[in-house]
Amino acid sequence: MRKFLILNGYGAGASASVSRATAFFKSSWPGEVPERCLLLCPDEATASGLAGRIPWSRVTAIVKKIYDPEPILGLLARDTASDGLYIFGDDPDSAGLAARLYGRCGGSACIGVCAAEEKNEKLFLRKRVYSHHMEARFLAEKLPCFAALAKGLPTDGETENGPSTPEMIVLEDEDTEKEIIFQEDGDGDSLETAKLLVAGGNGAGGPEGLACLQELAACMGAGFGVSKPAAMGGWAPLSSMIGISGTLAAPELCIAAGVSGAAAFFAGIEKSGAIIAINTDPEAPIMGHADAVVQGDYKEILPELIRLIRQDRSLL
Amino acid sequence: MKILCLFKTEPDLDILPEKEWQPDENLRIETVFLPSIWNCFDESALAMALQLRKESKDISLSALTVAPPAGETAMRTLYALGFDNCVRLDPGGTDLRFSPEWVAELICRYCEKAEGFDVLLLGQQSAEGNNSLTPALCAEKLHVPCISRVTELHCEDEQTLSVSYACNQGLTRRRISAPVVLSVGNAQISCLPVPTLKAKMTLGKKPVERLAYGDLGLTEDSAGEYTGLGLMDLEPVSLKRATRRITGATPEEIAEKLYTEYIRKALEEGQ
Repeated sequence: MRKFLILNGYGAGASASVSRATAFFKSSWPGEVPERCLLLCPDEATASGLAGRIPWSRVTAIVKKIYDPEPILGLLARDTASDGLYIFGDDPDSAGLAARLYGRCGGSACIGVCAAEEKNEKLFLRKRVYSHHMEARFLAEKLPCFAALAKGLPTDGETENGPSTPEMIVLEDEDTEKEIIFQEDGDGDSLETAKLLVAGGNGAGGPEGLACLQELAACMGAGFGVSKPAAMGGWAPLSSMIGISGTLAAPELCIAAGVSGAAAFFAGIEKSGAIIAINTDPEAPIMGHADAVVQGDYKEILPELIRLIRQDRSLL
Repeated sequence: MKILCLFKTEPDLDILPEKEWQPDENLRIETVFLPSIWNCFDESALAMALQLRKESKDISLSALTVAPPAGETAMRTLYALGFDNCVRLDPGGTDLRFSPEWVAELICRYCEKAEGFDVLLLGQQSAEGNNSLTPALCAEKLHVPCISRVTELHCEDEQTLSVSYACNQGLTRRRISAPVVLSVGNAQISCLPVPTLKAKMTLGKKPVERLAYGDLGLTEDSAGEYTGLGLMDLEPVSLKRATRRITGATPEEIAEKLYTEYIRKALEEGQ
């Protein structure tokens, strides 16, 4: 089975995403070298910078200013190896590309892969299912296999090699891109790297209920995030959503208040060093999944906490 | 513009107690006794479709689900909200959890039978299988573009939509001509409105169109041929930590304990 890495270099999180993908490959197939690494990048400078984070030499960059899967798909589908395993990065655009390529080339596909192993020339892939309550192990019965990685896998701790010059394929912008009206950057990436995190949810009852959580976050210098129902309710920006459909954070300390801790949310904080949960419901799932739990109203406790932090000025 | 919304209702998995997450010999989890809820992404897609209908009267709305007869309850709600046609495709005994290829084949065969749609609108993934493949597979089968992580939709003219969607480079808005597959992600418009009692009593009683595999030229036996992955094992994910309960007579006392035992140290390390 020949293995290929297809990595997306678009967006602020590209460097970390490339690092996680290379770490995944190294831990899954120690000592092996991918047949080729393909980098999808908005410009040559980005391609050169990201290629420096890839510890293998066979790197080709496909350069296109604005990400558009259609021409990239055409290019990839043309050269797909029938015995190939194509490993895509953990970003949503990569997952979409893997799915489309599978639809075009056949074989098998798995989105959200958290582990892979090859046994007796068979490929097994693991992923979370049932809203992150269960982990499934699948056998890839057909090749080529298109596997997009799950979010939140470990990064490659090794230092980067410095910029390198990959082989470049430059795709011209097409007329259809003139239809794009505006673009703006998301700001969810800061939550991904926050060392401290304060998270709120449905228990806030509305945007007003999130105010003291936001104050606590500001006072601690922490990131602030919310569960899906709170984000969908418009109580906070969508970019602050934590969980499988939002950001997967890995802070040293997470304070989750007014959050039930549904598995889809908990996936976004499960890699926290320590979790403090404050909830009025002792049966809420998070009360069994946190390191320290308080059964009570966070709106009474957090103001006291804010007062204590402010009082201890030497820390601020 | 003919819009087909694909949706499913699914068990509310978050209320299943941890001890019940034990697969049976067929690697299934018993969820039949759980209440059914809209798949959250599909619900956004349905709500967007209704929003489009408000913007243009020249839009026809159909809804398709692959579900057992209980799925028709949701369709009565959709009729009451203004959908023109609701179709339920009976899955028989097929295990659909990890069969997005089969579901996509069914959808595309239905599209062919219904003489095509301009827009296929559906959520990005289901809770049980979490496959995230169906929209892309439909687009590839139908040879039309696919836009993922759609957050907002507006009608520009008879064949053109303005679509906002999230991508790695940020939030993007573009005009796109039909035909197209739109896969809805985290959208701010997330809840279906509640139909009025009058609408429920009148529109909600419209008959659901029922189809079986045979109506689409397929048999239940052929479902297995479409999948590329075989489920080998299913294990519960353990999220347990050594939980310590923090108590106190007053909120001040609790806050003091949290601060001295957990937060101060984290703040010091973050300096």
